[in-house]
Amino acid sequence: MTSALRRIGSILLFAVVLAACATRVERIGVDEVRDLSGVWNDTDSRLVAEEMVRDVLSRPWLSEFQQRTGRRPAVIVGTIRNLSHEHINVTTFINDIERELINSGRVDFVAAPHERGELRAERKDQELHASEATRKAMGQELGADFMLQGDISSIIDREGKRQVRYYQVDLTLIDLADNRKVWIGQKKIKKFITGKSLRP
Amino acid sequence: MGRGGRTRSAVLLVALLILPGCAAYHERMQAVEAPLVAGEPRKALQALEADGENAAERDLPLYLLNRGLLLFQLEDWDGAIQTLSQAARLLEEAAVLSVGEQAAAVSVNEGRRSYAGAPYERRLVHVFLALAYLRAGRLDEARVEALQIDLVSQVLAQQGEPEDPFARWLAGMIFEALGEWDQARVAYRKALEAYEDRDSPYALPVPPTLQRDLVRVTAALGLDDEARRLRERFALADDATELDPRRSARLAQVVLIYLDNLAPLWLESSLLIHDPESGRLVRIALPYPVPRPSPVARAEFHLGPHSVVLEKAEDVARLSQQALERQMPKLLARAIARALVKSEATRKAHKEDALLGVMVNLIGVLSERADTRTWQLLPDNFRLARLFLPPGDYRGELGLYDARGRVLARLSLGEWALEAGETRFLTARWIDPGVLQAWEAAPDDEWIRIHVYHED
Repeated sequence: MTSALRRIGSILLFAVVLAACATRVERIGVDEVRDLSGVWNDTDSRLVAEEMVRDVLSRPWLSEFQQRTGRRPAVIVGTIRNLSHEHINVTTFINDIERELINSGRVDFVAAPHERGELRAERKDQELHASEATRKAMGQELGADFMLQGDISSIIDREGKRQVRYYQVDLTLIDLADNRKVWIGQKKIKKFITGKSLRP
Repeated sequence: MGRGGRTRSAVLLVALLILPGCAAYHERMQAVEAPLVAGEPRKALQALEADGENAAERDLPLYLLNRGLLLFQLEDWDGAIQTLSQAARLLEEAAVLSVGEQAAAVSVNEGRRSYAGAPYERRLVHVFLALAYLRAGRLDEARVEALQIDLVSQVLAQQGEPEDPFARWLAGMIFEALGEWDQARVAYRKALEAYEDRDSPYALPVPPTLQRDLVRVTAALGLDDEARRLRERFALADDATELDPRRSARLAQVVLIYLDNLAPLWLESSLLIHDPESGRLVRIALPYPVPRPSPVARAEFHLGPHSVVLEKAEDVARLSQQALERQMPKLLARAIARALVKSEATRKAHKEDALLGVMVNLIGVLSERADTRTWQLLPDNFRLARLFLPPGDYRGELGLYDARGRVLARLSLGEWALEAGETRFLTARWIDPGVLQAWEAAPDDEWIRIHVYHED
């Protein structure tokens, strides 16, 4: 009996060890929040973008512009600098902001400088090769009315295994006609992280 | 098969698992260093990668550190950044205590622990990341590494580790290149204090370039009284261009960081004792450092008609030696504990079966290896020069001279068109062809006597 129990125990132990060694993949929803290390992640990027765009669209500059011109403002995203302690993918954050602004349907969005080169080359190519009916003329680009600039900075306070990570995203919307700052937005994220004390 | 036979088979199986991993790191690294010294870093990388295929996971951080440095030397900036970033993450993870590894360290050998790196190595990985970003022209990302240097320094300070002046100085240069004078001033000040800390292994004569850097950013912040006091303290001429932020802004700057030779090796010193009473063998193995000093007495940076002598910024050899000296009491205590554990295992095995006792004793002796793991592809020392030049086209060259003024090497650094206000960061490396002789050098008996056997 004891020997049989031992054998069962050994098999169970073997199974547990094998399971621990195997790589497991689980699909999770893109909206699901899972913080693994505490560093800036996709959720931070998305939540900050959503909240800041909600804020920028609720401020008076938008209605004032529409009353004055009778159309939606054209916005371009300028430089958003990473001044934090981490190598943050700023492109992902800019994409999140662009998506939220375009999908709001309340502003027009113009291509960034690095995207415009390719578009202009295509129009130049169309002048030679496309039919007149479908050709897109040069010099018809929509000029931006406002530029969004900003930075992501961080402060890290660390002692032993514990640390507080504080992120601050500052964005400014500037009128390209006269350099007036029409909106300043700020979003802060604070995370308390406790590192592991032991490894297996 | 009887019980004794089964036990002997089990012991043999354990031996087969443990012993192949016992080829010491320093022995394996010879195959990497030989082509590197011969001026063939790509072959050195291939040799390292071939060795890395069989490397245990616990050695992965060190493998990545060495690989990152070889990629850096091959000017594969993206590869170096990716590899060193992974190494930095693993070093941080390995710094957390592992109960299993500690147990293995007192029962098999020190090398069973994950490589966590010496404190100076944990900081230098960010220095190399910053340099790789600078060489790739990614200044904003080099700035992230400057902040990482600050973060790692804070953690190390909590453990009583002194500041690294060279790392702080480099961080200051990155901030200055971005026009962040206040951050640059803080970093330069910390570098100055760290060089002047006589109790620190990082202490060196303060490089005059750092003195000028500090005066310039202090003046740029409008702190004229402070700038004047610093000028007087360092006995610097009032009219030097490098001290005037407005005049220097109209010039281009070139910063050259030279990596000289190779850091010390850690080799193994062992003691085999035969106990005449029990007939058992006891082996104690501990590492000792073998410095590989550079024959370069003077390094001179030439840019067109301009030239400047490089100043020593960090003595890595001293840091490596000091790191080992600090570890030695713990290493010795664990080596004694291990000898007792292995002796007890031999005694128990002998009671069961005499042949088994001999096998266990032999395995214990053969598995006793010193932990000679160290980031030995680092340079022996870092030297630095900063030149302010009128905008224009330049060709750079680094001349290396021995103590008698004879030319050891002339390294071409390339040609560039420099613009006003631009700061260009360059790196260069040279390894003395005679450095491999260190492998054959006789052990430093005095160091071993003092630090291993505690004989004053």
